[in-house]
Amino acid sequence: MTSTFKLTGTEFKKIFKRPSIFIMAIILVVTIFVSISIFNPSVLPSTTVNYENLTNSTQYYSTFLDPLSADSKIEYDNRIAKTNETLQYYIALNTNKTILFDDYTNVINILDKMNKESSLTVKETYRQSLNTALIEFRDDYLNLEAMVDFPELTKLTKVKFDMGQYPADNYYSKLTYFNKLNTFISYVQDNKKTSQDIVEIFNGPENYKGAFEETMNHGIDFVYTTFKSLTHSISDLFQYYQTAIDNGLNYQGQNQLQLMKILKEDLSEILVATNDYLKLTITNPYPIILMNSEDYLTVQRLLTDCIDYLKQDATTLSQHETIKDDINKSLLIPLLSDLTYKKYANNITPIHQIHINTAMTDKLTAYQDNVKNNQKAIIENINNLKNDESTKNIAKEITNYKLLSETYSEIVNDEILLYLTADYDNSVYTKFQGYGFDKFNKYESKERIVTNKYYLENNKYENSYLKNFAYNQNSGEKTNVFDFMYFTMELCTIVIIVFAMMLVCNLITGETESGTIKLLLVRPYKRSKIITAKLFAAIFFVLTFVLFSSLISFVGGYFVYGYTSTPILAVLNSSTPIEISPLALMIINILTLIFDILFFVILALMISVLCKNYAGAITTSLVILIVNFALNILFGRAFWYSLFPGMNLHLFKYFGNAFVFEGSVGSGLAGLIQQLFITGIESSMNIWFSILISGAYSLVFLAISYAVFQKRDF
Amino acid sequence: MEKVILDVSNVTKTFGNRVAVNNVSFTIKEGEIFGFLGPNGAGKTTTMKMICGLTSITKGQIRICNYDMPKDSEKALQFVGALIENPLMYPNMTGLDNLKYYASLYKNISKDDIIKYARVVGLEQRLKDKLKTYSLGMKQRLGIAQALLHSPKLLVLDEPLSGLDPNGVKEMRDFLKTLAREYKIAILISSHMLSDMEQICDTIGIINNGQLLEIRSITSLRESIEGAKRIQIRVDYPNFAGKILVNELQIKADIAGNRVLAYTTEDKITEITQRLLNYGISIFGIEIVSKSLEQIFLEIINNKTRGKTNIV
Repeated sequence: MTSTFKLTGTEFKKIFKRPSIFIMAIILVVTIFVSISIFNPSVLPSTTVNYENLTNSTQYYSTFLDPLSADSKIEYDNRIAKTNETLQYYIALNTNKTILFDDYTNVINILDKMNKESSLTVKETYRQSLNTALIEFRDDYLNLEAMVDFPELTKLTKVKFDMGQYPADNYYSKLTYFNKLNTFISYVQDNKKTSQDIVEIFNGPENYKGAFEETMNHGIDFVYTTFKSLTHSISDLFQYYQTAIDNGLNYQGQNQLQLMKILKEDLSEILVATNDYLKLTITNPYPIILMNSEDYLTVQRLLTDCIDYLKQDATTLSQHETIKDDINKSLLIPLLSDLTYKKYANNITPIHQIHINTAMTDKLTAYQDNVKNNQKAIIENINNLKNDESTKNIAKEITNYKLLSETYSEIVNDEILLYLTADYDNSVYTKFQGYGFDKFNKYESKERIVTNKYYLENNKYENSYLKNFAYNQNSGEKTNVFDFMYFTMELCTIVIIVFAMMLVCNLITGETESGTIKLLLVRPYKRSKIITAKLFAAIFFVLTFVLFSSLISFVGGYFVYGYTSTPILAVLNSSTPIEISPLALMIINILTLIFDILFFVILALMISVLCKNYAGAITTSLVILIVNFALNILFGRAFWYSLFPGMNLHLFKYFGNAFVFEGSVGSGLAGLIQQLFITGIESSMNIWFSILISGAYSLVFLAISYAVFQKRDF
Repeated sequence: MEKVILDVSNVTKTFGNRVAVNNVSFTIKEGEIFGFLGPNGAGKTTTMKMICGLTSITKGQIRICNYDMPKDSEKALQFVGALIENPLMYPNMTGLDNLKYYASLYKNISKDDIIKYARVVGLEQRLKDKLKTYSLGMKQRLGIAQALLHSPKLLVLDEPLSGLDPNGVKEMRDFLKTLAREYKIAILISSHMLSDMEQICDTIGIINNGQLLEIRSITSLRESIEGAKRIQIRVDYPNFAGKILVNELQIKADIAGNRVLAYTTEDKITEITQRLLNYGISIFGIEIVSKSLEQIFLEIINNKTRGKTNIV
């Protein structure tokens, strides 16, 4: 061990004996100066409520309470009330779904007991409880469907369409199922049937069991099941229409032309109904996922086309045939059945949803309580401050009231989006565009929830903190030294990576090529120690240069922009909120940058062991670095790229900095440089995942480097 | 009994299908200078690289001061100072910095030691200059200085005399001899110049195509030279003179033109001339003709190689 340190020392001294080291240091200083000229952060708009031309707290107080003025209490209360309604809707929906599922389980359990019981008299005793359970289920189902407090939603549950004169035999309608449920209840109540008969009827060919299950599914996932029943009916009606046409004009002595006409009208009606229903899922105020935007557009286009075909007059067989062929060609019907198949193939079963729902309800209720308490506390503060001389404190409290309403609506929105997308990966962001999912990233959403939750729980809002570092935006209302450092250190990191790679190539390939390594290898040290020493020396070089550039940019930034100690609320790994001073967060940022640099040092180590000539080693290293940056820009948010090192470097994004990569990337040269590092966070990723992936790559590179170097003949 | 410093036994090195060194064995004792003699590409450098741990050993065993290479390389290499191929050091550092760098790889080498060895190789005045200003000979000497810094027991020098001017060669020769005699350092030296080797080495190993053909002490080589001496006498009747030598003096003789070649030593010259003059033969000239070391060397290579070919 000591001998390795000794070797490291000699290698390190050797590095600093090189004249190029001074050129490197000068380039680094120049980089910092250049970054001053590129650095041009936008000013963060002030969130503080400022009533114009008002000079004392009493005036502020009365304006705040005046329902007619802008930025008044009523406006914020309305926002809170609207959020409350959304939240109530989801809570009610979830509660009703859970109740329905419990009722369902209860019925199934009783029937099971009834079936297993051998004594006939005991068997009969279950009949009464079965009756009660079934009626309870039916009542709760109707209750859920009504959802009277939420009129917008009833449009979706109570969709009505006329099935025309020829309803499909196996029409998958909720009405059919509901009627079957009623029939079954009448059997249970019918004393002529024994309990054994009831069990047999339930499991028998009439499929009361299936109807019961479907009713439950419909209650829990009504939008989807409605859509499913519509598509099945479309498919059936089209089948009849086709058969009628195939049979020709006369079939079993009947004129088929009349039948064709009726079927054509029925089909047309149901297509229109389906189209309307699809529109309703988009225009309703609560986010609903039925299918992704691409499928949605295709289905809608095909529906409109087919409706147009069916609108044409048809008085002869050949005209009907043309319409039939057009619909067949459009491939609407296979697409619809494919879509209804897909959802359950993805394991999104109603029972699955129930588990998510219960946890959701608890969370949302807790937020509601927080908001109530905070509202009260802030109003009390405002009352106390109304006679203050300065308007500063009352303005801050009014701002808090405003931020409270914003925080609340944001957190509820995020929670609902996460709940709706629980079964999807981050690709939901691209797939469901236009459904309220624009610019939606699950990691970011989680992070925002943690931040907002911290605000609500501590009755402190974003105006108490600096924003996390961004490349082109101040963290506070004024630029400070850390904003500058965050930008500059990024540039310096690129420069140091290039230097460190060149240096490693020089220490190994360079010395191999010139032959000096032979004079080193004949010393009494194992080869593993020699390569370790070279790696350590490169690491010390990196640390020295990072420290050097940090100090210069800190001192420069301190004098130009000034210091700040207002804390930042950072969220570690989208789960833990930490209030941290910007200095400490900057140190963390620099440590993550060192992690990046070391990855490239190890990569260069492997390349330099594998390459025979110095120019080749440097070229390969730099090409790989550039390719990595290009991939970051092109595929920085692609799911497959999350297994590449590029997306698992720059760990600072896990310190509450995921916000940065959505829309806050600058333009021009600065923006381009930032994009080299900024990559997305997939829903499966977290800091440990990234450390594992980039660490695994590093270990493989190290293993190859050591193995090859030890075996090699010089 | 002198200690064996380097023991190479049955060492083979192959690069793919090519056999670079084939079953080579030899030993070097303390204070002995062993010369590796052979044409370019004979396997001299590869063998030296194996000794120094620069190249892996395909088969066989190398022991330095009883430590196995490469298993105990950390211990074995403590006793080795080496200069393999061109002594390339760091051109941007001064001579002193270069030496300091190599000294820092060992324990307890003081600056005085460094200066001492610099003086020994005659570079004391130029230590403060950057290496890139040095001549080839100076670099060579600095290379030897770095190999000596830690007082090794075995010095491995690959072509140390190439690039030196005649004066430099002489100095280096004397210097290496002193090292061996006074400091009891075992030296392994390689060259393709026989004349150099003859004057430095105690033992010479002749290597060709990866095979160590023969190990001869320099004394035995000299004896071969002595033994190969002939006396060439130009006479008017060579056939008659030949008969006299064979029949009366029992000296083996050949006839070539007007010359008689007598296979004998110089002390017989008086006797031969007296006898020939007695028979009335006129003598026009007497010369001592000796075989050169080169000829012996080539004969060894040719004989062994031919012998090998015959067996095959």
